[in-house]
Amino acid sequence: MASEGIRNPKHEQLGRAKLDPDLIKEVEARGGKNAQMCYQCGTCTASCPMGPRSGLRVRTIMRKANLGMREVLDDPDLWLCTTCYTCSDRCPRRIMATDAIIALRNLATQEHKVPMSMIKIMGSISKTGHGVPNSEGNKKKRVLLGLPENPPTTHSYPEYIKDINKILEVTGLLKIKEEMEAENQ
Amino acid sequence: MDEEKRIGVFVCHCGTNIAGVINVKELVEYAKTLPHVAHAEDYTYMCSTPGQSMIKDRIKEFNLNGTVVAACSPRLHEPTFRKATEEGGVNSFLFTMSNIREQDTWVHMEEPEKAMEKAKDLVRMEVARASKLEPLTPKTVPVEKAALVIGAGIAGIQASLELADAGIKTYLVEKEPSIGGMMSRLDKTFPTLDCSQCILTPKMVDVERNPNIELMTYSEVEGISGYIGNFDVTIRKKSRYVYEDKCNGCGKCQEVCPVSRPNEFDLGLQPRKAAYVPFPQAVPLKFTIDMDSCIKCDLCKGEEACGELEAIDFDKPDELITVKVGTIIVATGFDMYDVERKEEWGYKVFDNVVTGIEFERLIGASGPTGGKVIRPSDGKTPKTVGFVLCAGSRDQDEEDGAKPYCSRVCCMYSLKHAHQLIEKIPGVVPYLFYMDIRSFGKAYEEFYYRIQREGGKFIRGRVARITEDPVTKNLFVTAEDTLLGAPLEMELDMVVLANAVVPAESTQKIKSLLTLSNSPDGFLLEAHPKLNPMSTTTDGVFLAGMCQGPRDIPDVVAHAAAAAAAASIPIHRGSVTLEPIYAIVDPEHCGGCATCIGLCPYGATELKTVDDKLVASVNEAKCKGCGTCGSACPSGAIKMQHFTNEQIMSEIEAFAQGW
Repeated sequence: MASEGIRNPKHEQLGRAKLDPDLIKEVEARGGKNAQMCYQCGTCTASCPMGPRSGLRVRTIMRKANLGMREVLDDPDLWLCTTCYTCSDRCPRRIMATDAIIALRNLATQEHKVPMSMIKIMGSISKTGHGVPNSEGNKKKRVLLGLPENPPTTHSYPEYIKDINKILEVTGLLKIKEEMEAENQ
Repeated sequence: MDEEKRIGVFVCHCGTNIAGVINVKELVEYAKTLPHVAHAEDYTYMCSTPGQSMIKDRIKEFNLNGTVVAACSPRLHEPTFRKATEEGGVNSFLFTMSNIREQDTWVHMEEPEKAMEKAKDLVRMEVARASKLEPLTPKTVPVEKAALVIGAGIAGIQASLELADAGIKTYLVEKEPSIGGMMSRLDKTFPTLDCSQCILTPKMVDVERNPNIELMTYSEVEGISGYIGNFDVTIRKKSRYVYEDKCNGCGKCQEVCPVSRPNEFDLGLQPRKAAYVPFPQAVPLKFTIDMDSCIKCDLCKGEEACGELEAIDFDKPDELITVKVGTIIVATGFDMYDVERKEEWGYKVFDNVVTGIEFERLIGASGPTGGKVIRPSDGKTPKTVGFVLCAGSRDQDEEDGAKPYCSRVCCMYSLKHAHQLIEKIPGVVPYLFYMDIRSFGKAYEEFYYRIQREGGKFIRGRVARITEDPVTKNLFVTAEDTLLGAPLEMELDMVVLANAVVPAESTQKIKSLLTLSNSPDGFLLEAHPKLNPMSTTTDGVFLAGMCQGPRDIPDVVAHAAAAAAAASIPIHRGSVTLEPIYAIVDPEHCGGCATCIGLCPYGATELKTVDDKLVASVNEAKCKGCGTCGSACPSGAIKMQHFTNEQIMSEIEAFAQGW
């Protein structure tokens, strides 16, 4: 009968966002175990090693997801989580906040809301099998330490890069990358 | 009294509470210099067993006939030291206590020298008083083997059943036509979700069947006189215009009655007739004719209705009944805050804003919709429902009559409402606007967890304003999500205001009849908030349930059982001992001016004819020894025992000696 809405002057530029009570269910279904049970104690934010160094506030992300604010998917801070799982470890309601963030990232990616820097990393993976490929400086350091120039990865076995690209294709990531690159031309 | 006064002074260290601030040895030496002091000594804890033994032994050793203990407040240990004195063979009223802790070392701990001086003053004053004290003997009075319980909600029901089961004749008085109170209006009870009626009605039936309970419904207490053990109670049995002994509850009068008016039991959400019972499970199941709305058509008396039973009589008068009881339990319950006064929430302006108790009737199986939740404006099923918690609680706005305290039930019943909605309406989203969720009881936090799991949405922020779409009748609810720091405006189908619990209007009359007091929150004042929450400052009068303060059903039941236990003690003991600290009138000096009678806050003074002369007299059992009468008596005819003019003057004189 009635539609729920949210008017938030702070986000007026986003227009009038709708509250989507199903968002948190999607997050839970995609692995964010117990995400709905967050009672906003802040243990996650306080445990987060990125917290003091960036704008990443896990509690706020959990709050927005619970309230059904889909604009959380546009939040660039979502991509600052290092997935160390400290927050999930300490959560008093046994919420896998890290997995919830990963679920939100997946949703954001599907909606083409992934930052272009991540798309670039995806390009690097597609090309080299590494998000951060080996560099000339690194190679020198490895030799100094008595290691081979390249680790035993796609850097040493470039014939497997095509398999990695198969994964990117099956998961749809390659398509999203191409579409987003086209959108951002 | 002509015997030489030999007073012992005992100074307590109270660990470091006293000894850490002043020099107790110096105080002991000082005490020894005071007139009448035969012995002075100090000890770490006078209240301990060796401390008490010391008093006993020294009385014998030094042949003392008076004791002064300089320690804490007499509220704490006066009874302890009285007993020790008595055990030493000295009348316990020849003991007095000097409070050098609360009134000295605690408040002056930053200035120990001055505290020392004050301690000397206090001890000197108490020694002077002790030299003037007179031995007194406590009186005992017999206790009537019956109790009165006022109010028959769950508190009064529980208290009555406990008393009756303990073999005590119990008069249970209820002003409404049926017992059951507020609990009978509830659908389910948190957190176990028991059906409220299902757990309450067996108790209601027990009340009706218990041979020790004399139930008086549609009745009000009109007068109470007397004192613990011997209360005379006048009860008005309002006329139902139906003879209770003849009415068989068949309901034919109701069927034929043409009058329709809102049923108070359902908060006016459905109609009742002028001949009615408030709800089907009413106890007693006796019909009442509401004379204010009856049109005297006589249909109810006709052949088709009451007919030969002849239970209906429009001229049946009220009855006044007097009963004698030993103790009284007040269980007068509570009212709900008039949330209409919070104009920003639009209650009674917007159709789809209802109160928590109205929602109880709307969702209740016995309610007007048979438990089908609809919104009032159009009868449609709501899909989004807002709950405004702390609606009038935790709010200092006196102008709106809001209450500063937490009502203690709203968090939980709103959680329960959210659960019931989710259970009944697929896809419904309950939004709970809260400041804190207070789920403190057994299995309450788990219930909160459960509702969150079921999909209840929690928004931490108090609703600032509700507006209405005049066409759809949907509501716009404005609040801040304080966890995001973002203002929100949500469009909802319906809003439930969890309004505060407030002291019952009807308690006021009982309060003045029993000379009870109230705490700043307006609820009845208990004797001690922690250690005696079921007693009052009026001996023999006890409190059960919400009349003393907001509490949930388990706490009400526990409180009521505690009150019943406390109320049964004097009855089972058979007699009570009265403190001999009361006023006595010297009839020779009393002029019968009656000044004292108007002033006595306990109604303990009255005029009596003694030897053909009208004089004041004091009821020893009702007198609290406050001294108001004595200080106002123009002819000085009233003596306050244990606080005589002579005793008080001696203290003042002793104080002045230090200057």
